[in-house]
Amino acid sequence: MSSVGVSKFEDLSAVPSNVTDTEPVLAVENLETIFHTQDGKVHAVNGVSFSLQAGELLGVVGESGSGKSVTMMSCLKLLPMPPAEIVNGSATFQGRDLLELNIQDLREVRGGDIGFIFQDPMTSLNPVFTIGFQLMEPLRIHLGMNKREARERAIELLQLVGIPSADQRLKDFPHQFSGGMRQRVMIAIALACDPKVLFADEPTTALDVTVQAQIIELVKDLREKFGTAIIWVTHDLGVVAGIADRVAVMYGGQIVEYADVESLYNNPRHPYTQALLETLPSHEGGRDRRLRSIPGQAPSLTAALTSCPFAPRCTQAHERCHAQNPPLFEVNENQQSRCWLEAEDSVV
Amino acid sequence: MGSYAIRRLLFAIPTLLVISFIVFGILDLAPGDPTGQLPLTIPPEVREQIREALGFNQPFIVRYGLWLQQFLINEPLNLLEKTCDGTWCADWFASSETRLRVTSWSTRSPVVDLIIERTPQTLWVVGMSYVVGILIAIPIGIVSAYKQYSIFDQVGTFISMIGFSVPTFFTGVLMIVIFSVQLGWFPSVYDTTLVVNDWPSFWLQVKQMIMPVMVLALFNASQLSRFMRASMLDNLSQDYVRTARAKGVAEKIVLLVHVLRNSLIPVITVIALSIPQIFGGAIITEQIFRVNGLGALLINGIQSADYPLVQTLTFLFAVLIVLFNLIADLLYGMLDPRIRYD
Repeated sequence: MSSVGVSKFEDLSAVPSNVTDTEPVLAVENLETIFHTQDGKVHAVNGVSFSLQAGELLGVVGESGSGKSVTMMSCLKLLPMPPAEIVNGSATFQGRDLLELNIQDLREVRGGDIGFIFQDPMTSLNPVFTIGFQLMEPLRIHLGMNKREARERAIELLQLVGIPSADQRLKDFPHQFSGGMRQRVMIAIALACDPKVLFADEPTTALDVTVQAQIIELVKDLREKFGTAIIWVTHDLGVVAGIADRVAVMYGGQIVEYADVESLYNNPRHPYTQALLETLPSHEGGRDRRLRSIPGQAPSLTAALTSCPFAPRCTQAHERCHAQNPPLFEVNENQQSRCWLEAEDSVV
Repeated sequence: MGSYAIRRLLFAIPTLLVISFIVFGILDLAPGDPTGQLPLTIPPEVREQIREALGFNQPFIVRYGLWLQQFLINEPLNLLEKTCDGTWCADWFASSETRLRVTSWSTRSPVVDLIIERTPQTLWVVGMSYVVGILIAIPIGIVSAYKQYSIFDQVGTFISMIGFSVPTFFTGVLMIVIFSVQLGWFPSVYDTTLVVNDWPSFWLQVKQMIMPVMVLALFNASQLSRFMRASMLDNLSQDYVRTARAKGVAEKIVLLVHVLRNSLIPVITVIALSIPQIFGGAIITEQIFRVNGLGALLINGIQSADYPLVQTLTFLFAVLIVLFNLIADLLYGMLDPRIRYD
């Protein structure tokens, strides 16, 4: 993405891009979200806490149904309520709890200070409006630009995400773009108002591998330029290894391991993380006869957690795992693991 | 899009010719006799002479050919003559005395004149009921979908179920009993001879239109509001709605710009497709309120075996249906950028 370089944006790179231990831009505490369904409550998110420093990229990994997306959408209350209900927790952003904000104030944060990229670029854009209209909308809402200013800025944004002949493409409809190009448009929309935080909810899952690589490069590039803090939700451990500063591994609606990227890949502590890493096909040595998987199924979460949700699939599970849900243990200053094996009084 | 429309119009010509032939054939095969309504005292020979005078004893294909010539060639020429009358081209088409017109057997008046005479009543009453129906249905559909399963939605569902399943001949009579007989608010019979030239006569016109329009509007609105609701619900759960909310768009704009624009595409198509029915007239409702529109004309024609009248009216409905099918397709292409006709 060497074509990226728009003079107007240069001054914005003054935002600190180094990860420091100062006040986090976003701090989520003990978030709990449930869904009311016909078959009872589904506890999708069970006490998730994480924090995001300015300019940091937090990777959130886990298999389908582990509550990754629901956690992110809960922060901005983007879930349909009902059936969803946020029963507990807080999401502190710029000194305010997003979950307590009234809808007016929350709307100012959405698309303004916090951008959101969704999984499927094929369906995330409105098919009957031009790209220009959809891109100019947040500019006019949050920055109060008039039509001409918004148009100029929209062209810059499209150039920024690497869409050629941007001023003509503003008039095009989403179906005239390829999947990768649409995701670039989504990224442009999310970045339109210089957000402090960017939620990327599986932004590359629906794209093929080469386009995936381009999008990852693009986000890396934009992050260096603007120092935006990013939460990157994915189920692809390889992607996270390449871009993240810290990683939160989710299982059963809670964070089971929370560590910086080196520690996580070199020294995974939680049995689930270990199992996940083992499923990655290796480049070295002979090829395995079969791809590896984790036996068993993800828990259905129809009740509040009373035991470790991973215990039924865990090779190292013992009595305590089936009786009590473990807390998050501090392994060292860079790593936390939600496993009874870390407990000092644990009998293994 | 222009070339597509022209292609479709050209294709419509053979379609309509086939339709006219089939309609003519069905009318010919149907039992019935143009002299059937005449007094029984008329002797059979005279009846035979009347049939001969009407051309009823000619072979099928000759009668069909004559109708084609009268309706598709002579009538347009008459129209041209009328429009050119008194201008430089006045002599070009001036020979209407020698041109045979499609003539109604029972009234002996040219069918086209009859239709022109009846159209305004139908357009006013049935057309207005469509407009009112659409204006009621679309907001109800939007609110019902947005507040799905709310009390408003439940009541709306209940009323539209009643409106759709109770026939208009029942609601029509019920309204006459309540508002004309009991309360005496509105006249039960539509007076076609009323001339609107001042406020009191305009008010009379409104009063006599209210009941037939409301009966039909209730029926149309119940159908359309369900359709609107379903279309809104389809779109409310789409990903792009979440994107709009994530951009910080106000809920009203999300609903009335992002979702509505998408939801209206199928609804507008349905509305366009149902416009020919306005011209067809609401046969039953027109009968109940004595609105002598096109529907009443068609019923009279059928009852008196007035084949030229029935044939011409049916053919005109076919033309409208083919035409509005094309218009619906073109509208679809205009409203939905994903559809292009090239």
